Amino acid sequence: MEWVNAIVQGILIGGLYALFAAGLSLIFGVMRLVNIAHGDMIVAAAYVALVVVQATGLHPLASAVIVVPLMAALGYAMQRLLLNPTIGKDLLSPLLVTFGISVILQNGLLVAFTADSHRLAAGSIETASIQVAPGLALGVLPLVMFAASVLIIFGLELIFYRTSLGRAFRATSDDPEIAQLMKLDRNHVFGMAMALSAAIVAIAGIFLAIRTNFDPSAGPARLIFGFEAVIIGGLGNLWGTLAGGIALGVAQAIGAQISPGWQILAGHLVFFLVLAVRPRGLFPRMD
Amino acid sequence: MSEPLLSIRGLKAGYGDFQALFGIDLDVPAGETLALIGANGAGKSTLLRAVTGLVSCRPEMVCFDGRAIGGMRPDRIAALGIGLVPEGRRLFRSLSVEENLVIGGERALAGPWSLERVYGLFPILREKRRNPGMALSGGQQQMVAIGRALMANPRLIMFDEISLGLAPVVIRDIYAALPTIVATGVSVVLVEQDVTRALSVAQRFACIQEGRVSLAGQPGEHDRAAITAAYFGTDVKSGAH
Ligand SMILES: Nc1ncnc2c1ncn2[C@@H]1O[C@H](COP(=O)(O)OP(=O)(O)OP(=O)(O)O)[C@@H](O)[C@H]1O
Ligand SMILES: [Mg+2]
Repeated sequence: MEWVNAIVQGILIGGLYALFAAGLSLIFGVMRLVNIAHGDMIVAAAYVALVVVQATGLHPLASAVIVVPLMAALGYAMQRLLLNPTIGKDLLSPLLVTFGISVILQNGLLVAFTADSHRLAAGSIETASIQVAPGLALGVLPLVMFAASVLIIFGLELIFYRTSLGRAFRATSDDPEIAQLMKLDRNHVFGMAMALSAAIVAIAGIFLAIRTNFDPSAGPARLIFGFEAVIIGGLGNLWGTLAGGIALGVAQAIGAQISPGWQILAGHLVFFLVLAVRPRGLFPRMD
Repeated sequence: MSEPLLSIRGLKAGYGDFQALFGIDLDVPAGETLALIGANGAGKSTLLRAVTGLVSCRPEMVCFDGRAIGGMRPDRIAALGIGLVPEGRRLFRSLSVEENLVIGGERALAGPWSLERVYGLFPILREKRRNPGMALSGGQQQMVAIGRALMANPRLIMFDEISLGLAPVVIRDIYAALPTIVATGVSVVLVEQDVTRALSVAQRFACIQEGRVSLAGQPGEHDRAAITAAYFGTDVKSGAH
């Protein structure tokens, strides 16, 4: 039962990893950019949530009504002001800019909030659980987060495949030059992609802040988990990304059962295994 | 004669240090079809790219409806009503046939073209509308590319290599659609390898040779030898040697 329990917890945390990954995958898909600052943006969102909760007294989950639009607006501005001027010339410049943003975010957070770790208290929901079988209890909070992650990925799929914004994303990704002839302003399309990514980052940041202690240096590990989930799932496939996140979560949970030191390592091993056996991931969609 | 819809004056353009166009002068009056002919590498595509804003040039080098548009952003130029059916069709790979058409119609000008009209013009596209654009045959892809440009209700539509690489029967279908398109009053620039065919549908033509207009006028005005000479660059001087 202990093992079943571990695997179930792994699946649930996998939803969060998929959220880390979805925003990363979106940016890569639309503008062929690996956003090195993605993990730090998640942590920054966690701090934004912390400030909002302290200032307004809102429940951490409810703070999303402020944190999500705020992060989306910041993401849009960051794309237009910092990234767009470097995009399209070569692949390295925008990558370096995201690296710079990553460093600035980490150090800025350190100055503003010190290296002390924080956590958002979510109240009684944290300890609530449902007994699904003898010896197997599911926390209500992890369940809510997992359901939210699945819903967000479903919503992203809808945006991508059912809306004119999604069409603009795909067209720009397919052929940026001809997409402009469809009256699409590339800078705005990229801005919207970053805004959407940052909105998901905001949710991921809130969930992260409720689930674990976070400090200004917590970003890079989140970037790695997100990156691994994207690659395991296969580029360009959001449901694959969810599967990738779950695979990573389960691997970590099983690793932790073997020995605490194995938790993170087991995740990396599964990542390398998938990369070796299926370099394009489990469910690739993009060429 | 009234002001032409598209007017190109002294157009110089290129790619980085490489200059492809050396002072092109051209007019396309409203509602007319201009055939643009010339050998491989003459600069026809570069000319269309300059008009659509995909390669830059000085503002006054391209005027559309009396407005200097040279070097404007491609999305702004497209919004003024200039459509391109690009060389090699360039459909959006991850979009279905219908999505390729719909995206062409986003923020369209007022005009006759709609999804229904495009399906009326190319009925096969209605059958294939859920297929990925890239899953179609070359000729059907060209129909999608044409429909995508029409959906915006452009005032000027430019076809780059409209029949290149297509089977003769498909070329016939595409050309059969042209009169319907022209009848809506749209101006047309037609880049075509098949000179005879291009001249048969155009009121004017211009021959480009190594980045310059080597001959221009009305199809009946020049005999075949003169056009061939302008096309290949076998001018009188080299003939005399
Ligand atoms: N992206 C580019 N970068 C550098 N040079 C280019 C580029 N595209 C075209 N050229 C060069 O510019 C010149 C004109 O090319 P362009 O494509 O306009 O000719 P074209 O008349 O359309 O020929 P074709 O019949 O082969 O399509 C050629 O010498 C070509 O090699
Ligand atoms: Mg060409």
